[in-house]
Amino acid sequence: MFLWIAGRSKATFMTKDAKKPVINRVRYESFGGIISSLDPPFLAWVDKYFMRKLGYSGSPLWKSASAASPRHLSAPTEVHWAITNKCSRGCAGCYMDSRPAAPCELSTDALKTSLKLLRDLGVFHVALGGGEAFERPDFHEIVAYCREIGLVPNLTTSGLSMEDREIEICSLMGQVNISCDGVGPHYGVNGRNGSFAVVDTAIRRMKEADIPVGINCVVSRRNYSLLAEVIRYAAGVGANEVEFLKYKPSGRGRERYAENALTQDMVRGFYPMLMGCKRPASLELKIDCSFIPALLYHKPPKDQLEKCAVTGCDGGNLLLSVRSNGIFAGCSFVDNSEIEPVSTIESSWHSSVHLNRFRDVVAKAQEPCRSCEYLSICKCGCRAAALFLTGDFFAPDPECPFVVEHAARKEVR
Amino acid sequence: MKRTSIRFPKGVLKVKKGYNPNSSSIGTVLYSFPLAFVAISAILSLCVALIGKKSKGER
Repeated sequence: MFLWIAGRSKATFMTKDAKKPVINRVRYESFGGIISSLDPPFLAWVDKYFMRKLGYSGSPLWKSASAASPRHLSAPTEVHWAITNKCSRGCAGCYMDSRPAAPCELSTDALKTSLKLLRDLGVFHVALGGGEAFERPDFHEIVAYCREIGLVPNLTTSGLSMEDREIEICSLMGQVNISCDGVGPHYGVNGRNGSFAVVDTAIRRMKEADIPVGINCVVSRRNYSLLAEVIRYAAGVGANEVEFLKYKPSGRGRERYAENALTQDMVRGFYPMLMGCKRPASLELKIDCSFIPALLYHKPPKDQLEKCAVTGCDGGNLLLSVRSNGIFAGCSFVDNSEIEPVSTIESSWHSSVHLNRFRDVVAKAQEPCRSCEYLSICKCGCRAAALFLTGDFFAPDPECPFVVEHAARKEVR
Repeated sequence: MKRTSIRFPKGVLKVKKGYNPNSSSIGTVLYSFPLAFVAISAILSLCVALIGKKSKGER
């Protein structure tokens, strides 16, 4: 089945018509299929009718009884790959616990073989990171290979080294985000080593080279009040997005989690605060999956969330994460105790015990998640936070405002 | 929040804008609900354009 899908996903219909998107790949799913557009970049989930109109006449996935209501997609849409755990910066809160020396990393050939496997499985995008990806001498070769096989490479980098080599590599990316938790003297507020001036120069160089560049901003108790400043800076420098990532209890971030985790008032005020920040239309604000409960607390219309592909924890469905040693996991913040290599992904995507734990979260939802109207979107919040704070992978996210209110009501009774 | 339904073109179930460069977690565009439709309407019209004509690719 996978080979067949791979064959079909070679189908491309590039168009010169500016009024039509540039589609690079299409893959079948039980409900119809998913279309990947390069220009403008988007993924569209479409039904069988739409697929037929595109000329895709059918798939075994449309006929199989077990595929009628699958728990997960036929493949992830994106893979997050820490291609090295090497990083000379040694930041205090590093979620990957990256260090200057990193043993047991995949060779160039092994990486390329697994990238091809993922592409043939139907993966559209790969988000490359580390460690610091630029510290791999073969990084250019890896990125060029992604493009060659039709995987769109994207990148998170510290931006602390942005010379001609790095600019050339970045020009192959769909989107590059540079880590920056604060402006000017606040750059290191979350324990990040480096210099704001260097990052600022990197962003400006990338803009000059016409590379789509954004900012990744880790949000903790320490920089919550500084986020508007980050947005103003991003707007001024011409970045196209700022993505806000919740500080996670992972890697060296575990040690300082209690002092960095957001307060409940901050979690509840997060969405209105961001929406109140002035910005140009060209600058998009994004939040990561762990912040979805903070959005849902404000009761946005569920149908709009679904249609805009707003998603909470989607490990083992939209997302697969791969560590620098080639071991995959449902998400970058939760370890796979089964120690499964990505080279087995073709057979293990559907059967992995580790990935099935992510897929079981909705079925095993406890209160108040079980009765929550947003359960199918949120999927009980962040698994890394739940596991770290409760020891139970299936527990409701203890930082979700709905969960906190539920616990308070129980206490009153 | 006020509930306003989004009317999608026939056959389009949902759309996800942009790429996700973040290598640690899935990103979601923070729309100003309940007006998210405005933000994705351009993509929806592109989807309609896709099946407006016969595509030219491999079959």
